[in-house]
Amino acid sequence: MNVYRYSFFTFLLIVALLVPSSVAVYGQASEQVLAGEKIFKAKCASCHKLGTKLIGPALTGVEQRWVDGAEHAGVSGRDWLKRWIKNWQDPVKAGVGYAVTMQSYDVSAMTQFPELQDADLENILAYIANPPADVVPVTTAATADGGADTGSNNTYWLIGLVVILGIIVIGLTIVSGSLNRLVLEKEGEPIPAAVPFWKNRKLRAVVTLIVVIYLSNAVVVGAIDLGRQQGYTPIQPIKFSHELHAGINKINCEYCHTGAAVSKHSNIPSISTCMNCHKGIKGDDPKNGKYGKLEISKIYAAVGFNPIDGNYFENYVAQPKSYIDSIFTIWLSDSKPVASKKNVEEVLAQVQQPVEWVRIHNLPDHVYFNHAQHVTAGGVECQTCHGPVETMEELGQHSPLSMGWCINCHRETEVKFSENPFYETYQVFHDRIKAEEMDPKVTVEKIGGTECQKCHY
Amino acid sequence: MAEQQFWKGLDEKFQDSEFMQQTGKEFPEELPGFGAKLQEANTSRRDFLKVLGFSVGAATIAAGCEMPVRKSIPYLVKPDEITPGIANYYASSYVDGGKYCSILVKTREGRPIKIEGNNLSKITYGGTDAGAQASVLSLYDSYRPKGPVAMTKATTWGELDKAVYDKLQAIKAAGGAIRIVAATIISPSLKAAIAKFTEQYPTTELVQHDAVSYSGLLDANELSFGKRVVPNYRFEKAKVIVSLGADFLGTWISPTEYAYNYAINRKVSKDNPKMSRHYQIESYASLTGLNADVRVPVKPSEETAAAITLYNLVAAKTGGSSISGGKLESKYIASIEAAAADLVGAKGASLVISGSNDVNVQLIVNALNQLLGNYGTTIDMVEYSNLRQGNDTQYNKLVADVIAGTVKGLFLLNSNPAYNLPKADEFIEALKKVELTVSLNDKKAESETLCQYLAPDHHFLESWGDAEPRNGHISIIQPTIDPLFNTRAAGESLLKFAGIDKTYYDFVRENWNANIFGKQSGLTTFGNFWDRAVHDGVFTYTPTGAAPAAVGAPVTEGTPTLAGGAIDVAAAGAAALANVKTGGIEVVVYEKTAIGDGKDADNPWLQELPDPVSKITWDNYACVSLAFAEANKLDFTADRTRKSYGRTVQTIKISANGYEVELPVHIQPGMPDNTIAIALGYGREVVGKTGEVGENAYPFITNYKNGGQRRYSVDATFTETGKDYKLAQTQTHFSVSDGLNQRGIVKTTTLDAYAANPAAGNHDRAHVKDHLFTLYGYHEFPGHKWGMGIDLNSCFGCGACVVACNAENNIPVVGKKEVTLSREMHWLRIDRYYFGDVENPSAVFQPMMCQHCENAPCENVCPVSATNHSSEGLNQMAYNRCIGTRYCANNCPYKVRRFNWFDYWGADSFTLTGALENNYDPHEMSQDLTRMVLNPDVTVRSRGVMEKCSFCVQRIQEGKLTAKKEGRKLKDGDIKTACQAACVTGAIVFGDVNNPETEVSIIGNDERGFKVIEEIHTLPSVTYLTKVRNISDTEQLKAVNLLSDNAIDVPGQVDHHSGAHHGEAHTDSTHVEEHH
Repeated sequence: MNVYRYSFFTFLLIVALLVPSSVAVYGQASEQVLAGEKIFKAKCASCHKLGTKLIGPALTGVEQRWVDGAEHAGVSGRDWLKRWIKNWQDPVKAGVGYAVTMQSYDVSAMTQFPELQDADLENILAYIANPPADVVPVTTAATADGGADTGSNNTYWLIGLVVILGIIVIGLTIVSGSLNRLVLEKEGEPIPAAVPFWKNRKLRAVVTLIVVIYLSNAVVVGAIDLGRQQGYTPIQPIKFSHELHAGINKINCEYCHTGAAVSKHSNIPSISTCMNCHKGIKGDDPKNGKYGKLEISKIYAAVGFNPIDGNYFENYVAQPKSYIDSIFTIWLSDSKPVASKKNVEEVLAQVQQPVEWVRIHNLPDHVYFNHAQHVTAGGVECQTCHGPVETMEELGQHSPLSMGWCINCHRETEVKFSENPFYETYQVFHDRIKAEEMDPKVTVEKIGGTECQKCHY
Repeated sequence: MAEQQFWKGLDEKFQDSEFMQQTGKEFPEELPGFGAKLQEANTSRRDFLKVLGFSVGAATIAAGCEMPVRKSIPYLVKPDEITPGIANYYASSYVDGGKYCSILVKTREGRPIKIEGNNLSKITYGGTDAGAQASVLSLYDSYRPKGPVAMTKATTWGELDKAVYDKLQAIKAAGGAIRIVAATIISPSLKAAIAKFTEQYPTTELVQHDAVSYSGLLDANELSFGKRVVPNYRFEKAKVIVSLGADFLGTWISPTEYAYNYAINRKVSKDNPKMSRHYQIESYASLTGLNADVRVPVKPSEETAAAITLYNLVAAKTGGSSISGGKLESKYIASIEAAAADLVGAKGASLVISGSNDVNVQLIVNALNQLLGNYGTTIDMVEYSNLRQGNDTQYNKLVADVIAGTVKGLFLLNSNPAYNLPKADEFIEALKKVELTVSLNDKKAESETLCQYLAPDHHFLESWGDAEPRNGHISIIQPTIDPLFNTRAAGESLLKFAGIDKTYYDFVRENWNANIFGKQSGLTTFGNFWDRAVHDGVFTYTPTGAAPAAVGAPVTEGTPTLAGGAIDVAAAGAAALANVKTGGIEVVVYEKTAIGDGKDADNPWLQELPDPVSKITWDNYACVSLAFAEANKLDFTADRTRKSYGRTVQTIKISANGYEVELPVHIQPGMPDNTIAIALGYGREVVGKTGEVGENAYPFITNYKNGGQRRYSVDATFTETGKDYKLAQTQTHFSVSDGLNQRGIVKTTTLDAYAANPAAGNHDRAHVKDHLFTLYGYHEFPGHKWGMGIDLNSCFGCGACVVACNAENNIPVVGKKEVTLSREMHWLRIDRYYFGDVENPSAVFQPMMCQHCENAPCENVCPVSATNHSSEGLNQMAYNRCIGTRYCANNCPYKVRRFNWFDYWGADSFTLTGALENNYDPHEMSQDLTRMVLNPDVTVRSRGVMEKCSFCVQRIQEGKLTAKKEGRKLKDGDIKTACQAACVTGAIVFGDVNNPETEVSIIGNDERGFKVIEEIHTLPSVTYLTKVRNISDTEQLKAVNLLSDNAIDVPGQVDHHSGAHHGEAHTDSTHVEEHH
């Protein structure tokens, strides 16, 4: 039961903290900035941050830098910047000096965004110029602690109560025994010999009952837990840190897990997705320790990228493994701190081999789960089920993924009843809400979300 | 009323006592399987406890084991168009010889899993047939050829190419004849490849031959019009259709196309109470015949006489010259007279077709159509069909040449003479002496054992290609999966043999660029044009050229002289009569809707699909008439104690045409006298295991004088073998015991009655609805409420929906033995109810699946609530909750619930052996390869759970989700069930009943709409529309009542003995009479 309460409190706290605070903060930002932030997060955030360098340069002050440095051919620096964002080759070809300098900023070329409209570009620039005050990240872990505290407080009270009642019962039993004895003594009846407490039949019955209840409970709880993997944190072939990517670098979940918004599966990203950034970020900065370079090298080994000359191997699978091995051995030989022999072997094992991730979240075959249903239609945050991924160095299964847990959420979560025209079909409910005969909070359950054949077919 | 108005089988018709006993039960036998053993077993309480303890312990240990570690391997570079979990659809074409269907292939994560129709096609109109639906399973057939073979040893393509090339060069140098024998080729590119091959080897000739030949029809058109083609028949323009043995709804040329067009004039509405009238004159009971308004059974030898008689009757009224002799003697002659009168009455809007392969009969039919002015209206000779091109004369010559040893190189392309050539022995012997024999077939076949080299073709789902089923209509075949085995496109093989090193894709593309791109002007670059064609799957252009005028022709066999302006019918008649052979018992061979000519006999879905007419699976059999059986005491059990009515029948040995075969007897209502009908396509010997059922009937084919295939033998004899045989016949499985007179399960009326009163035949509905009452209250359906509407007028019973349902919902194949135990798993069955004269009945086809009752009897009796009701009106089945008590199946009045007696797909996690064996898979459906066909969105059910139609809930959920994601209301037609999507005639409609504007709501409110046994207040969600037949009231009265005229119930009497039954299905004709 703790589990449900836990998630329930989590949910309440997220709602309580996130909604009002974010509304309050966002309330100060202009529409333009909000729109800009949305585009920035979708398109730019995987390579750029505002204050610090990521793959691309830090963007704070970018507008000024271009205004100052890039006026060319009668076009203002600001306009050249916008053209750069859409297609960076434009200003380079036109010979804008600042653009030519920036061209050699990093080996990985900037993605082109021809689809961005002028208004979008203005929005992005507005966001970069006036980023809203950072919302204090509401980590689920913190709120979960609060939830657990509230739960355990109750438990302590209950235990205290039981102990007190137990003492009273024992006391009263002793008192009643003494009184009985006194009465018998007074009436001259023979006093029965004292029975040792372990031969007391009443006591035996009570103890037996307690043991049976305890064992049955243990069996039931154990049986329910069969096949569940809450907390499952297997060792992965690559030491990928969600904390680093999603937490520190704030890469949007859906940048890599593209399926979550559209499909039933939230796919594990293809290696080509990793290479979008890691063509440039090779993890060879010694101050970051050796593991970055080692783990990133595994991606290169899988996909066939030569980190030394920055090109993909031609016809990778046909290359002799010994040749590829030698390249990676050279690449890893100047690692600082030095990579051990075992470290290098791990990388070489990945040469010309697919990356076999260990699947963490498993549902039984008779359960149909659709990510898009929850992410896109329901607007549920990834963290609601997957927990504070952005704080997980190693990813594990946060939620029990049990049916009770699913159902509970379906009972409590509201659908976008008035916002999404899909629900216009439920005219009966709309009428009732209007007539105040029905709670305007329409949960998933009310539209049939706890029926068998919503998930089992 | 002792006899039934509507009956599924003769046992039901005659209320056979054993049958009556059985229908009261859920299953025909007591505890089938290990019933007797269990009852005899001396199981003590201790044994029971031991087993209980063991199973609890075993389950705990098994379940307590560590969860398996599951790996997840992402793409290296994800293809843009693939998102795991989202299906992709690719336009393609199902082509198998002359069988054609424009399709969309549904693939998931790169696996084709389902075939859907392509709505852009102007030939199949988004419909499919059973063969197209089942073709996806053939892709995953482990008996498919695995790679090239030379002299029975596996080889490489390079070596095979070299060997064949060298031999061809040697033959070329010696000037030896090379022949390519193929079933009809409708692919322009394949023909171009053969042309390239012929360029290299000029002694090559292409000989096309269809296992079931249409040579007579083609030859007749060549004689009449100078064009050897099948015309485009426009059934939608015909008010009167007379078919002389052409099963155009089941097997004849292009049934999907014809069914679509035919249905246009068979659908009626209040505002337009008109429909075409269909006469069928045939020598066996075909699907088309049972759907006809008027049916005339004739012996196969009498078909010619029927054509002449019909011609003379029409000629007498239209002033044509008559044919002497050959008048048909039949008790049904009045029907033919009526047909003639109707034809003349609908001049220019009528259609006469014939299934005969006698060129002379086809000439008479051409003359008939000419007299009736049908050319240019119902028969189009410009946009002619390419679907049949086989030529008996050429083929016979080829066989003779092979036997004579003059053929040096022989290529088999989708052709299997060793199986389907009657009297093939001599040919087979001669084949062994041909210098070079190469099989290009894509399937295991008898002929390949005789060929030196096997160069197996791809399955069409793996291959590029094209098809031109009709002049001006070209469609693309594109691969939807990488070849599973080491196969190669047949066209590419031929090019390689000709020394041209080119992939077939490049070749097809170049051919389109050179020959097809120019036929349109809209798109200016070939790249765009090609992309559009591949995307749409079809490309249409207007062919040039006027309709060929009749050139007139002589009709005796020999050189055509093009003198004269019209067909010389007198000569044609004389020649046709000269071609007739009569005498004694006649054996006619025919194709079954699903199995056809037998090429796909190894497809378990097709084998388990009950034949629409006989409802028999997994067999062919000797169909005889009731009178014939009674006269000869057939269809009795071997000990002759009682009639068996199709359950355990006796077998007979039939010999004719120097061939003898042993087959079980099946009494088929509607068979002509003294005739035995046997289906082709069975008795395969070199084939996937599944195809090894039944007996080969091809040797009963004889020849006309010109060598054409005559599909019957005469002077047959038979002897009883005294052996019993179990037929896996589903016709009376899942019957309602109560008799149908009291229950309005199917309803029919006549067109006249319907025009007078749209509720004709259904007038008890209002009464039933008035009396519906409940103590329990009703469910609330606040959002959607799903319902289905089925028009019995446009369901012809073909079975495409059943196979589509199998594919969509992972329905297992159980095999013949289990079917005989009434354990078939089909969620959707098509009940075929005969009515009328027991010797010549008509039929109503009623698709029956879970009715999703609002007040479902199954839900009340489930002890664990595994089946319950959803707020969208679905009767839900939660497999993981089901404990298999089967109470629900027992309580279901529609008998639509299916129990998993075994684990058929390999779904169970435990593999047990011996007595506890849980997997039962006679047709290798649980192999990893076969399991690739499974729909990943539908649970694979394990042993011991109940299942049934879910209204394709996975499609409902998908449709709702798409609308939700797009932020819009769900539109009518967004969600189509698998059966609905497969149906070419649109007989099945699905949608939201809560919305009064949806098609299904409109059907629900139609006066013809009725629900099956509605009076028991189950409140089904499926509405059927009364079948309207275009016959007169008196004919209907005869049909739905009793055999003889004097037994017709007088109006008013009906109510005497039905007074107690509120649900009495009054015959509408009586109802109409009441008003007269």
